[in-house]
Amino acid sequence: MTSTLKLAPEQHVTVELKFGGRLCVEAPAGGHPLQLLAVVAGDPRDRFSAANTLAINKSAYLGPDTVLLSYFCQPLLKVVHDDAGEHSLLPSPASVEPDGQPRAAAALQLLENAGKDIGLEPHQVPQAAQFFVRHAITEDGQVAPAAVIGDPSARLELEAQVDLIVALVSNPFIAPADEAIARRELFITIEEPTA
Amino acid sequence: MSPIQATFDEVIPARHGRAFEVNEGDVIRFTDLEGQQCADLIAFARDDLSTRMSPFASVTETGRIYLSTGDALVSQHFEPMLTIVDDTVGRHDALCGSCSPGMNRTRHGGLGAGKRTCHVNFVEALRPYDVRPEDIPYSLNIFMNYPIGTDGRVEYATCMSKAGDHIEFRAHRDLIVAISNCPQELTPLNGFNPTSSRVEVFSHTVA
Repeated sequence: MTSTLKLAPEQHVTVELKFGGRLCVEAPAGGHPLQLLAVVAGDPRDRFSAANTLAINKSAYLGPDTVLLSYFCQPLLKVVHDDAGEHSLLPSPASVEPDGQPRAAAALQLLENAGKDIGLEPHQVPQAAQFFVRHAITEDGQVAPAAVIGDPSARLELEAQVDLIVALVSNPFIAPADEAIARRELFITIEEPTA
Repeated sequence: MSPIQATFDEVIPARHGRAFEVNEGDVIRFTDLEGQQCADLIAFARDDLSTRMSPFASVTETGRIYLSTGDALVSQHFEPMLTIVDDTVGRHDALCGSCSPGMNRTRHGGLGAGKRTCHVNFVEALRPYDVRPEDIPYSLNIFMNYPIGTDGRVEYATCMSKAGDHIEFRAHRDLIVAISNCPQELTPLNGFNPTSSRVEVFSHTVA
């Protein structure tokens, strides 16, 4: 059984995933910055950890076969399909909107709103997994502004390693302002595990 | 404002941690006493424990993974908490958080079981402040040599610090600070031999 949701820009959705279930994200018009938070269904203290995911996978990028890990180092989700490219675990460098408002603060507000819906207090909201964006890194450690990746119809699929509650945040503020990208929608499909 | 006085001065034994309080304007000095030793540092606003130093937000603020002299360490809401005011090594990690029982189990299986970890050191040190284990924030890892390639690959390497190398932080507000002498002995980080360090806090007193 499957269900599909549309995720509009600057909105978030929460979904429940059972062990073995799949979360599919499609970008019909091309990539749009998407952040993911997750908590273990039976233990909301245990939530996604970018730091542990980076340390255990030995990479700042997410791609096929990457396992997303929790605060207590439990496997949460595995990337089982990805035709968009390398996705980022890195924080976006701060930049400012033309109207003077910092984009990082706007990005954090959207993320904290989503975190609240899955039971996270603001101080527990972690650095999110970020899909359809990639931050280039220079040898001396400079982090470039996020580049949006993913051609039209790019698809990403993650498989739950445990029962989860997931928040997905369409967050254009983690990338430089781009009106065309900012309007793009994403489609989220939940596939229940096969018996 | 003078003279400068050490209000806290302790040698932290290998594999252990400490928590202590600092006032706005105080300078915290961490010294690697024997070389090749990294330490995890976390900080909370003393009047609001939900405000904590965030290495990830600090990378957002600076646009750099490697933080050093002059860089501000900010809270999750980008408020200044500490500034690095001196640094004789120039290589620290802001991304990989602390070692923990879960990480040891995942990375080393049974070999990692029962070892001390930075997360456990923080839980113990912060017990007087009622910080829950799941609320220990991610750390700035002093002297931790965790280079990231342009391809995004990361690998643990041995700390570049020598005996006597130090880093200093100035506090922007009243803080609770905890430092864990990293007990990791199964990766090259501490040269497979965790050792001791010294933490001093200097305050300006009104003459």
